Amino acid sequence: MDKLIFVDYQKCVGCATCEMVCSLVHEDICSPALSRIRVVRYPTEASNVPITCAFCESPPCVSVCPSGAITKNADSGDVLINPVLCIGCRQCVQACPFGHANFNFARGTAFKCDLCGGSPQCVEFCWTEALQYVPLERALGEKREAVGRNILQSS
Amino acid sequence: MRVLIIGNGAAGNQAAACIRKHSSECEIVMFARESFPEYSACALPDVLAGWIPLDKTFLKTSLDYEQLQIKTCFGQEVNNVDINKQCLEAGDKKYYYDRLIMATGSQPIIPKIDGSQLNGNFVVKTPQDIERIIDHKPTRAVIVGAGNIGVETASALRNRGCIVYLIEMQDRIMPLLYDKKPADIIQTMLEQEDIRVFTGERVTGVAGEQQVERLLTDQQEIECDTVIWAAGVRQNVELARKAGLKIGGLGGIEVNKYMQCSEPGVFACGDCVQSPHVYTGKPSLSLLWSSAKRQADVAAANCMGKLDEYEGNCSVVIEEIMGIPCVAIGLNLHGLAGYETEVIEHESEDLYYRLLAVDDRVAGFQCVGSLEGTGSIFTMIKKGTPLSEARKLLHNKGSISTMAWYMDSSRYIFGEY
Amino acid sequence: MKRIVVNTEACDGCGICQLVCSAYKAGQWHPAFARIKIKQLQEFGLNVPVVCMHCTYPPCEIFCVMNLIYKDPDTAYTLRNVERCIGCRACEIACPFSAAVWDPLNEVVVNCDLCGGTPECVNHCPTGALIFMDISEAADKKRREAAGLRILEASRGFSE
Ligand SMILES: Cc1cc2nc3c(=O)[nH]c(=O)nc-3n(C[C@H](O)[C@H](O)[C@H](O)COP(=O)(O)OP(=O)(O)OC[C@H]3O[C@@H](n4cnc5c(N)ncnc54)[C@H](O)[C@@H]3O)c2cc1C
Ligand code: SF4
Ligand code: SF4
Ligand code: SF4
Ligand code: SF4
Repeated sequence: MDKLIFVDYQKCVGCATCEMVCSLVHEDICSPALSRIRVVRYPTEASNVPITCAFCESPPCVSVCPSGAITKNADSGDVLINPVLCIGCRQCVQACPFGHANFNFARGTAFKCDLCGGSPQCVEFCWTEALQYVPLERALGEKREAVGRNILQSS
Repeated sequence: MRVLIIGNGAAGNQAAACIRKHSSECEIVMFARESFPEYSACALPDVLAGWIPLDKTFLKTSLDYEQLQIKTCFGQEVNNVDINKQCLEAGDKKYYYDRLIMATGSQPIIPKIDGSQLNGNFVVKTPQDIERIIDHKPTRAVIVGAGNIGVETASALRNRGCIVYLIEMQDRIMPLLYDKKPADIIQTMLEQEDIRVFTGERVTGVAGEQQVERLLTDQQEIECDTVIWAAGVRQNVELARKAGLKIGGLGGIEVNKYMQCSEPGVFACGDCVQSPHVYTGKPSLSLLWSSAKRQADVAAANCMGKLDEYEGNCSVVIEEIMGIPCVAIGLNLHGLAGYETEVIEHESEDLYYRLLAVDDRVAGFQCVGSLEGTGSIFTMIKKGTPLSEARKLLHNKGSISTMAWYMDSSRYIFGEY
Repeated sequence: MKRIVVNTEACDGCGICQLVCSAYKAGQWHPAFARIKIKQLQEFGLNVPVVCMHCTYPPCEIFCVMNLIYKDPDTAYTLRNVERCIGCRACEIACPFSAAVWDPLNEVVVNCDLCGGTPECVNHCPTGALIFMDISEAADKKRREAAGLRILEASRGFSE
């Protein structure tokens, strides 16, 4: 897994563009409830946190799925649901520690982030740059740089 | 669109129902040799035993076919399929199709040996077979072949009060399902029911004037008035062979994971196909109700242009003998020949089980005495969960609280009771 | 679409759900007749209520040799024409969750029917471990909110 969706929640304004785009791309409808990425809003704290799949190294959703429909690709690190094998028991929904894996009742199958096959559309359309699809090292590098600048300035 | 289905068994009917689910317009025509509606062969031994009435084995009435808008051509043998013209011949009529589903199933084998055509030779496959056996009023019956059908039929006839013999050529009963030890335990249970079991004997002939009077094996002669052949089935693939479809090495129609045959527009499912085993990936015959239905779902979906994949065969056979459940899931040592197999075994007064693992994956499971937790083991086999991962999860409170289903398997995978 | 959602951590294993279910569904007062089962894990002090998930494509339906399990077209519950059951127990093994349970009284296999929409086990659960709720509102939403909060709190600790 060289690249991942890196979330800078401080930049997120909670506009829900990512949710609209995601549901439009995957389900042909603008509906946050059917979006893979979900923005959780904390009005009292004036913060918004977009939650998406963490692509865990040992994903609970993969372990818990009784039909082998969710698999982790050892090479790319992607965690994907094969809707054809999904029996719709919603175990992954209960198991995901982030509440990311979700269930589509109309289709009767579970869904989760598939990185749009390599070019995440939520990132593409996020206008505040709260979402970035970058190699881990680069995302951390930027963060480190900002922290370093902080230290420099205050000293 | 017009779909023709050959076969009115588990596979044919499931395919029809599934097509109806996908489309209410599609024209469905179903052909079958017999002239009665769908029945469940699995319930026939129960009828023979007298536990349930014969009419309970019928799953549909002619009204049900009407409701599903399935046109039926029952009592009609399909003689020919022309794949280039996309048409089949039944009776003296031709029927054209857009898609064809072959669900021609299988037939029990009666070997061509002396006396096997005498009055008193039977198989168990259709409700008529059962009626015929009951009308015959058997008192001393020999069942040839101790597979699951043979064993069920033996217990059923014993329950009718017959004197029952069970003959098996291999060294143990249900040789494709169980290993020697559990098979011996089950054999003892059958013998306690007063079924006389002989293993390692080959049947050489049947003797009698017009009636069956004796059965001859290479070791003895058994006096009897009834012989029931349960020594294997043959896939009904003559039609497919004539049509030019590829037949595999095991005698079943070759299909890919979409249940598509070697020619476009033709799908096959049920007892008549051979498909990869879920564990080994090698071609295998399943001959089970559940596989027939699942394959039919896949065939029907792909036939309607929807994507579905068959995950592979995995056998599950349950037997209840004197109220004690016995279950065999996946492969036994015979099926795993050539693999380095680890055996986790447990034996106590009322429970015996063995778990076969290859390369950290559960490949087979046999248990006598309990069905508890077997669902979870079956799931692990189908899914290919590594044993080490299951053990790790079972040691972790956080994961087990959300992954309850692993819990059930714990006593088996730790090898403790 | 409402389903029973289980909060394992809240269950104290009192077994009331089992008794209630057996009373309503089998006219008995014994856990053996319940459609919901409490599995106990003593080493963790954990009690896990196990009940039918009402799968969209139920393995039990595929395995039934009498074709008597069906999905209700309106509610999408997994239901059975149990009077046709011959008790072969194939569906019991097909169910990954052991939620298809043997009814020793009638010698058939049964599963939860959500009491037709008013689950009595949920109504009587004293700890709130069983919740009957809309799936899209369910576990995932709560967990999503909690996860977001974790992130917020952790990062706030850092910048202060
Ligand atoms: C006694 C018994 C007990 C069993 N118990 C179990 C059990 O407990 N569990 C389990 O999983 N399985 C069990 N089985 C196996 C199970 O019944 C079969 O796997 C299942 O019935 C296969 O269904 P099918 O539709 O593939 O084939 P079949 O039921 O064999 O149907 C074949 C259909 O094709 C038609 N046909 C064939 N050729 C032609 C032609 N040329 N023209 C027109 N029509 C044609 C036939 O008329 C028939 O309608 C048992 C079987 C038997 C006999
Ligand atoms: S769906 Fe959830 S559990 Fe699965 S990989 Fe993503 S974050 Fe992890
Ligand atoms: S009984 Fe088991 S397999 Fe059937 S619907 Fe319920 S949870 Fe799914
Ligand atoms: S909903 Fe009803 S049937 Fe289902 S477990 Fe609860 S009480 Fe039993
Ligand atoms: S009633 Fe509630 S707390 Fe009691 S055992 Fe059932 S689920 Fe657990």
